[in-house]
Parts: sequence; structure tokens; C-alpha cells
Amino acid sequence: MRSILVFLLIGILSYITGLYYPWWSLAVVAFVVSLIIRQKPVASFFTAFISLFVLWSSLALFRDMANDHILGNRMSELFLQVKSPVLLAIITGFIGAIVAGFAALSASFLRTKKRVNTQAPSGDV
Amino acid sequence: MRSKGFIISLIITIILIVVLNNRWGQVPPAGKFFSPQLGFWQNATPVNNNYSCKLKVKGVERPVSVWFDAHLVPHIFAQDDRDAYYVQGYITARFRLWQMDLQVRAAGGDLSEVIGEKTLQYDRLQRRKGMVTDAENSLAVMEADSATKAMMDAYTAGVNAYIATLNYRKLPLEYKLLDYKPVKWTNLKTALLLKYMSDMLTGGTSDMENTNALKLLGLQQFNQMFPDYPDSLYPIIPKGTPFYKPSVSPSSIPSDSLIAVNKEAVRFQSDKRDIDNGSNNWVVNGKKTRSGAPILCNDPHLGLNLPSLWFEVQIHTPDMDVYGASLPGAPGVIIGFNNYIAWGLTNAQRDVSDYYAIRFKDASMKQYWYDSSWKNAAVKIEKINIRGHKTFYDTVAYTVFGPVMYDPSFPDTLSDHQYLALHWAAADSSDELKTMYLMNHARNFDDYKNALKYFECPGQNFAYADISGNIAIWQQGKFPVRRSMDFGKFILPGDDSLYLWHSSIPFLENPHILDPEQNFVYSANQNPTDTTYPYFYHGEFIQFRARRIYHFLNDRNNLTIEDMMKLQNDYYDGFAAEALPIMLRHLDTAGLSRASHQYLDSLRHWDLEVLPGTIKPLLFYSWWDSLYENIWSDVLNDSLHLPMPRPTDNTTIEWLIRDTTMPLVNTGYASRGGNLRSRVYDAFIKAMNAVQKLDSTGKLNWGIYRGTDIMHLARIPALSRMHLFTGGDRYTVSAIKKDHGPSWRMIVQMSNPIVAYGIYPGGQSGNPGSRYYDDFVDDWVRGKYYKLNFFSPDDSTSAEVKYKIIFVNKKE
Repeated sequence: MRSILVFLLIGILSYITGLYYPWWSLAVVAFVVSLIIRQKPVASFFTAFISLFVLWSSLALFRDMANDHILGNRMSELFLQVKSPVLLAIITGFIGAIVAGFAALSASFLRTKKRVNTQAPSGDV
Repeated sequence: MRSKGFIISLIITIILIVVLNNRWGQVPPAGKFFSPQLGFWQNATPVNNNYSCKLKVKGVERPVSVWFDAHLVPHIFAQDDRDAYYVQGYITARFRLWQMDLQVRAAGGDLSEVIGEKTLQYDRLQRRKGMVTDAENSLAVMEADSATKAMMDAYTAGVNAYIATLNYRKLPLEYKLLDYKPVKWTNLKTALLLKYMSDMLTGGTSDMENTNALKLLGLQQFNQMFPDYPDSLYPIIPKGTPFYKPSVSPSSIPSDSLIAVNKEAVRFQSDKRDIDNGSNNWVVNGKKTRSGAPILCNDPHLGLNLPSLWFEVQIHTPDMDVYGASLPGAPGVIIGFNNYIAWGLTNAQRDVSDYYAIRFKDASMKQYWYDSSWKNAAVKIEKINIRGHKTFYDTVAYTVFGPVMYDPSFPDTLSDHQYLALHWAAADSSDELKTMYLMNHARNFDDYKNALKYFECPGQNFAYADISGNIAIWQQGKFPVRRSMDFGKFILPGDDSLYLWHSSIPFLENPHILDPEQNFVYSANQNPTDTTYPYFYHGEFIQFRARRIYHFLNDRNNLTIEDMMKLQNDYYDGFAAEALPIMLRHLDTAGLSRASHQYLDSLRHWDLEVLPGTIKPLLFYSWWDSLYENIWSDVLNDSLHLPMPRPTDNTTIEWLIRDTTMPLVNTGYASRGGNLRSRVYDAFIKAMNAVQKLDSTGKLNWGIYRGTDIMHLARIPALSRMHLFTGGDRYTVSAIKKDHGPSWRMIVQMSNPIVAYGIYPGGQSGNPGSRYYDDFVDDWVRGKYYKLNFFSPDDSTSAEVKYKIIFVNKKE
């Protein structure tokens, strides 16, 4: 449940900030959401990763379909030497996902560390 | 452990963001570029996009409606010219902004700023030609004319109003790809664009090569190889038409004095343009048409690119109603028609650029020897910004003749080049936009004539037709009165005012004709006149298309628009028609291989149509190119490896028609032994072997071997249309080449109502993500046309009107 909530929050908030702020605002969103809603590092990474992957690749695919694949074909030919808008959308999703994933992972580590600090002031090093 | 994890993870996140936020080599900043909300996906315009909207802008006084038809051609309806040109600027930028930017950068030598070091040499060339200086000087003249200035100001304001609406998300794709931003449009940029056209159409020269040839061969042989008139001439002004007595008589100078200066050979290739930057236009009057109305046709042959050079537009105001092809970056219509007249352009091909050998006192280029004393040269420092590198400063000296384009620092520093100054008609300030303005408003022959007066460079053949049934053609430009036939073919002495251009041929004495007896006029880059024209001129004239057009029009009556389409799409090769019989006649067939026999057989049965599905044009041209080398290589490849000019195919074949023994005075052909037969045979064997190697599957044809590539302006194949299955060559009326050809085919019947057709190989949108980017290309390849919608204000509800953009004043 928690993962689904994080997944949705990161996706929705990244979409909204993406309309008004630079592309890397998604990292801030992933970081803040993951800071507020605690998850284990691995789960945190993958929830944010999948959230942004789904968001960016589906937004790309949506535009691609409305465009009849005209630009998707051209750009994938330019960057991948193959006409595959789907592959290009996957790469698009991956770029957003990897940044979101690491931002969320950072938050998760920070959150964990904070918790450790409060519960065991002597530290666990 | 956890805090270490946090730090590592955070560092990775930051590195990722930094890496993805920056440009790496040719890869744009991937984060924003791939962001589906900001980057290139935003340029994927939905195919069912609704372009209709209401725009509030400060620049229009009263509402302006722009209707778009199914081809996305804007039809601008404004209450006055100023509002119309403002909206033309806005709409053109809306669809073609990046192209406008790039072309102006290419004109003024500003490409390196966005491309990098690889365009530095090109930028230097443009600067050293004086492109920016010339544009500045012309702009001063243009802005001194209130009509031209008002037109330019409105257009520029419109372009800038559009630019002001842009953010990264809305930027044209190429800005995102190349990672830079548009800057403001200026009137100077419009002036630069017009100089770019001059450069494209008159910028080339062979003066350096000719100088070498003259030095090695002598004047007599040079003139045999490069005659001023062909044996078989179909001039623009029909033979026998009387000319005015010349009002300017040049004091002639002996040819010897032109030769005296050429002591030094030139070791670099001169600046070349595609000499097939030519075109066809013709007009037939009502006596030759079925409808009884004149029909005007035009197809300018230029380099083919995406986005296309042309942007179709209709502009309607109370003072004007004009439709045609505009140049993105310049207000008005360049080739088109209005309610009263139609006009079309072809290139005059006349040589209007000369080079002068300058003697400087020393390498600082501060003083040069002129009329027996040292004269000060102006020195201009050209600052060229280079992306990712230090700024480059180039020093260009200006003499009375013009900029010293070549000096020991340019084009290279390998050999000690002479100082060569360029005098070019494009450097003489002029206001060609005024011509276009007046032409767009013209209602009769007098208006047309009045419009032409202002047109100086690039010299064009203006074909004309009007609704009263008149037809005309006028070769207009500022052409120097040359002091001898050879004046300007070679590098001229730069130390004597005697060699300056003293005067120009008066406007009324430029070749022109109104309503000729033959009932048609035409031009296809051939010589404008026969030898009875009272002024000397020379140029890079092309003959074969003109002959074909002449015969087609002369032999027919009751011509229809369909006939005109047929002629614009004619693939008959008039050169092959002359050359092939001679080649076949002199070919000994004994001992030919079986494959060669088959090729020969197919050539014998060639109908001379250069169609894409046949291999025959490839057979012919392989053979001809090989024979050409066999004939000329001895003369052209001298031991010093100097750049040499190449005689035209026309000259070569006419020479062979005259005399198959073709004696050349000094070298080659006759002296090395081997008659025409042996050369024809050798060429045939060599060519057929080469073709056989290429044709291993037996399926090779002209469309595959040659075909056409319409390259994107940034030379990105994925944004281009490659391997188009086209026929034609430079000698067919439909002069399609690999990267060059009919850039706008237009046919206008001056009936009531006017009926017009047109097409160009591109699309109205410059956005590679739009369905309108290249939607005309396939139909252009097939030789199809679109009926042009010449809307009247009553057509508001017409089914042809697909979208409407309404511009209203922001205050309303």
C-alpha cells in the first residue's frame, strides 16, 4: 500500500512540477516524497524508478501515438539508428527513472539514518 | 554505513542531474531534451492538431484573419499592408523560425557560433566576401525608402512577437537538438537573407581557373574552349529582334592588357556555386492557349533542403491580393501572382563578380598601389565566435574594388597567395525588396516595369503575364558595361582605375520583350540575346532546356494547364540527343563483350527520356563522362596541378559536331595520337565495365543510382528525405539532380477567375515532428500539383478553409 501511495505521489507531483519547473524537479519530488513516506532503500529506489519510468515513457508514448510516430521514428533513427519510437520512449522513461530512483534512494538513506540517530544516539557505525 | 549510503547516493543523483543537464559532444542535454513535458516529444505535433486560435498581440492595429487550407498555406486577410506584413512575419516564424535563423547565419558567416569549429572556414569565406558589409550598406538604402522600411519593420516586429512567446518547451526541435536559443530578428537579417540569394545565384566564379587556363593555353585556345555563344542558340530575346542603339559606349581596352597581369598562377579553387542554380520560366499568350488566357509557368532550380527554401502564402489587403512563394525571412511574395499579373523568375547567369590583383606595400595591408600612388585601405576586423573555442579574428582589407577576399592567410597558408579583391554586383547597395513590394501591388505592364527598376542583384529573368493578355520577359539586374568581351573573365589588374566598373547598362537597354510575334516568351538560363546585342556580357549559360522548351511551345497551339504540367515534368535529355548519335557512330563494336553488347543495344533503343526506372541514362552518362575525360584530360591536367576550368558539355559536343578531329592548338587530343574512334571505344569499355560492377544484380536504374536526397539544413539524415526515386538531370526541363532541382513548380492561368497550380518538395511546417513537414514530397516526385486556393474574403465558410487564427490588438 505504502509503495503504491509513493508511486502515485511521485508520479502525480512530478507531472505537475514538470509543467512549471526544470526537468530535474522530479528529483526533488522523489526525494521529498521518499523522505516523508519511509520505505526501505531498495523499495524506495524502485518505487520512484518505476513511477518516473511509467510517467515519462507513457507521456512519450501518448505524444508519439497522437503524432502518428512521425517524430518518434525520426528521433529514434537519429539516436538509435533504428526506427523504434517505443524503444525511444523506453529510453525516455529510463532517463527520468534513474534520476528519480537515486533521489529517492538518497532520501531513504537519510531517513533511515535520522531514525537511527534518534533511536540510537551513539550511532551504529 | 547508512550515512555513507546517503552521501554516495546523493552524489550519484547530483552527478546524474549535472550530466543529463549538459551537452556532451553532439548529444543535447538529455534530461530536458528527453523530458516528455519539455523536450523533443513536445515537438511531436498531434496529427489532428487544431491550429485555430485567437492571438492577442500588440503589433496589429485592427483584427487580422489567417486562414489555413489543407496544405497549411496561410491566407492573411488584413485591413492594411502593415498589419499584413506583421502577421506574415509572425506566421512565418511560427513555422520556420529555425530555418530563418540558420540561413541568415549561413549568409553572414555566423554558423560557428552554434555549430563549432568545423564551419569556421565557411564563416571566414562569407565574411571575406563582404556579406555583412554589403547587407549593411543595402539596408541603409532600403531603410531610406519609407515603403520598404515600413514593410521590413512590420515583418521584423511580427517575427520578434513570435520569438517572445517561446520558452524551452515551445522551441523548434533544432534549437533543442543543437542546444542554443533564438535571438531577435532584425531588418539587417532580412537584408542578409537577400544577399544570401545573391550569393547563391551570382556568387560563383571561375576567374581563378580561367586565369590559369589563359596562362597555359593562350587567349585563342581559351576562347575556343570557352566560347561566348553556342553554335546553336535559342536566346531569351528572339533572334532578329532589334536592340536599342547603346547609350553608353565603353572605351574599349585591348585584350592584351587583361592578359598582362596574369603573371601568377592561382593555386586554389575559386568559390563555386551550383551553376545549375538556374530555372525555367515561360509564358504563352491567349493565342496559343485553349482558354484564350495567358499561362505563366516557373520552376526555379535550387538546392533542395528541408525545411524548404519556400513558404507559400496569400496576402490580402485593400491594396493588394497576392499569392505565391515567399522566402522565410523576407516580407512579401517572391514568385507568384495577384489579381492582375503573374510573374516568375529564373537566374540570368551573367558574370557580375570580378577579382582584382592588389599590390600591397607590405603584409599589414594598410596601403596598396593604385593609380600611381599608395592608397590607404580600410581594414575591417571580423569577429567570429566559435562554440567551445576561442573567438577567431579575421582581418579583411577593403580597397576601391571591394574586400580583399583572398590573401596569404586565406583560403590557406600553404602557398603564398596573391591578394585578390572582389568586386561583386551584390556589394552595390540596392533595394530588391522594393521590387517585390511593387510587384506584389502591380496591376499592369507599367507597374511591372516600374518595379523592375529597383532590382540590381541577383540578375533575374522576370517573366510576366497579365489579365489583359499581355506577356513579357525582362532580364533585370545591374550589369556592368564591360570594356571587351573578355573583361572580367580573368583576374584583373588592381592598380589602375581603368579597370573599375565605370557604368552599368541602362535599365531600358537590358534585354526585354513585350508581346513578341511568336506568342510566347521563355528563359532557361541560356544566353539572353544573340550577338547583335550591343553590350558585352558573359556568364555560365546553359542551352539544352531552352531548346526543348522553345520547340515544345513553338510546335503547339491550344495549350492547356495540363500541357504545361507535362512540360515542367519533361524528362527528354536534349544533350544526350546530340551526343549519343555521335558516340554511337564512332564506336567500333568489334570485340565487345556480351554484356557490353547488351548495354549498347539498350542505349541504341533509348528514347532519351531520363526516367528513374531505366538504366539507360546511367549508361549514357558513364560513357559520356569517360569520353569527356579522354578528350580534355590532357589539356586540363597540366603538370603543375593548377585548378583549371572545364569546358561545357555543350561546347564539347558542338566542337565534335563541327569537326571530329578536333584539333587543339597546344596539347592533347590530336598530338597524342588516337582519333575520336579510339577515344570513344576506350571510354565505352571503361564505362561499361564500371557499370557492370555496380549492376551486379541487373536491377540497377537511374532512380536508385542517382535519385534525390532532400537533406535537412543541419545535414541530419534522419530529418531528411533520402533515396527519392527521381528521374531527370541537369539537361532535362525537369532538371532534378541528386540534391538540386525544381524547388517550386508554379503554373498560373490568367483567366477570370485566375487558375493556379503549384507544388514544392517540402511542406509548410519546418517542424520535423509535424505531418506538414514533408507532405508535398511524394507528390512532387510523382510530378503532381496542388490547386492553389486564391481565396477571396467571401470564402470564409469554404470547405477548403481548415483553420483560422485571428490576431487582435492586445488592448481590445
